[in-house]
Amino acid sequence: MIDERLWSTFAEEIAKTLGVAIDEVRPDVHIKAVEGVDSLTLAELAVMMSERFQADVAHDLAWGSQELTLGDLFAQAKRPARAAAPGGA
Amino acid sequence: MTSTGFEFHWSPSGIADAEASDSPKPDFANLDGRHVYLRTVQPGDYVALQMMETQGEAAMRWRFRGHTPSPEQWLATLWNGVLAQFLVISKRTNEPQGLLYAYNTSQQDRHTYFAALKFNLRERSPLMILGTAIFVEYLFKCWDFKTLYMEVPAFNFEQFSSGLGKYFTIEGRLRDNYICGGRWWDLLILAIRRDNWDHRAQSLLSVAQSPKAAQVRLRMPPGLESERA
Repeated sequence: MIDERLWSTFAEEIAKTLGVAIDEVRPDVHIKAVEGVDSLTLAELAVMMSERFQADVAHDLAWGSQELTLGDLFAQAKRPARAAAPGGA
Repeated sequence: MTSTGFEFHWSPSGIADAEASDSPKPDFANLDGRHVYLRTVQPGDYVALQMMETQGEAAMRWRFRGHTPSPEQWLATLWNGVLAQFLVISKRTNEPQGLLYAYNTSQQDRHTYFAALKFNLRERSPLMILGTAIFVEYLFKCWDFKTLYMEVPAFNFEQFSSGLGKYFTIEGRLRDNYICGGRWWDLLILAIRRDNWDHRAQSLLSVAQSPKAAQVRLRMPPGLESERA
């Protein structure tokens, strides 16, 4: 069962990183089929997944062939860590 | 083990793990990334590298552009005018992903050019980008460059054009300057400026580079300090 709240955060971040509208972010979309996704975008996707969802996907993006979907990426996403309060520990 | 020989233990991050102490240390460039690491080109790489550079598609679009130099000429060119040169190696497969080198350096004007060749031209991959980020950081940390330049034929630009305005700018466009595949292409001069890189590239580097190992300082019990020396 999909974690709707996590998916919503994930979709928002994916849309920002790939430069697409949020309604274009669907689990069945192949990452490398998204228009304008170049090698640098894939690197930034790896950065975003690491920073926001504690997922190490760089190698999957490199060798995931053309088949890797946004759903595959989402399967590796973990709930974002809560940001520290300003001035907090 | 022979009594005259010595063993050289090398690790990419070894230099940064020198003896821990409280004194300030240089923030060494780290060639050991999380997914890839940079390794200097060795004689054992020459045959594969020469084949890569003189045959197949890369031969047409890389530095020889169709020329087939003799092995001796090729070797001289490999190092001619080169400031630093590394292979990008995947940590998962230990396979070379590409070649990076800095050339045409002007110490007086505090800039250098650099080039990147991805061996697998067909596949989009973040690995070569992550290796390039490590290399750019290396160049900025080892030398006082203000700007790094890349000469990029327009047909190569689409591989990383999304970074325009964020990591680099287009400083120049030489129209119909470069012939490849029977047609003329613009040659773009891209610039990466140190101040912008320092400001914008930290996220990219956070994933490109290995997290630095925590330094542990051992405190010796009183009386044993002198024995340690």
